[in-house]
Amino acid sequence: MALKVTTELLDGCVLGVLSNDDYYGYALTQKIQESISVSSSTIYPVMRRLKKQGLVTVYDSPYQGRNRRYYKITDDGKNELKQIIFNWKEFQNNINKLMGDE
Amino acid sequence: MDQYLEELRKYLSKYNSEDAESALEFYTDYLTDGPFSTYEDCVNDLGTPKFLTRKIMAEQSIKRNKDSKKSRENMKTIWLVILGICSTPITIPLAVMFFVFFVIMPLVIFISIFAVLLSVFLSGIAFIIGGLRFDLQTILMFIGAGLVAISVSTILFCGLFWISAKTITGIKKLFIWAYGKIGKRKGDK
Repeated sequence: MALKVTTELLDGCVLGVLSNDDYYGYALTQKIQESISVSSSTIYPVMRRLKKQGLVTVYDSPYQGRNRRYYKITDDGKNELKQIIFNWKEFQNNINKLMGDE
Repeated sequence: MDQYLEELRKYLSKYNSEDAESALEFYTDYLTDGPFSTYEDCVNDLGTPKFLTRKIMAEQSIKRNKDSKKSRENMKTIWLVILGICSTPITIPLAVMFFVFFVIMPLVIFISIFAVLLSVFLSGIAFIIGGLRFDLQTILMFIGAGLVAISVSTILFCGLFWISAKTITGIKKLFIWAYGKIGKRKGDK
């Protein structure tokens, strides 16, 4: 995809993915990169921000003799996701109106 | 992979904060879970350890600035941004060169040609008016010469504006292209 994804949309994408299931860092990055082209190094800052805002929490789960860190969406995160989806739909409608929806 | 993480640890350790520790934890996890065995694999995905550290710390400082407005933090951010700019050493001279070649030079050329054409146009008018005080033959000659000067300069004016418009469009495209190039270089991977 040629268009740039803004920070808020990237937050929304991550929260959206986490609203279906808990993910660990690598799998989450893969999941996001399946659909949009963002570099791997952008995901960590997003996770740190979401964590600081209390939109996601982390927990460790043992995997092959070590602890793997999983990310889980919080209730605040779910509300934030709703808000981002609402904003996105409005944005999408307005852009479609201007460009002509095929 | 271990070598990559070791270098990342070394770069992050200069910052000496708990955030550096959590970043290192994240990337240790990330690289262990992913199919990254060699140092090159890691660099291909995340960039060099130096680049990655800069990315982690730069975003950190900008974010912190929103929370607190300590001048020390501000200075740190400014330094990090300057470092970022310096990491692409050709950016500054390139920008200056672009500005001189594609903004100042065309402007100077345009103004000088415009001035020459304007003087031809005005002298045409002066010819016609000035010629009026002589006998009929001379008046006709002056009017003829004046009209030739006015029409030639008018045609050249049109040409000048046409060429200027084309040039401006061309320069604009060039700038957009150059910006994209530099942006990409500064950006990821």
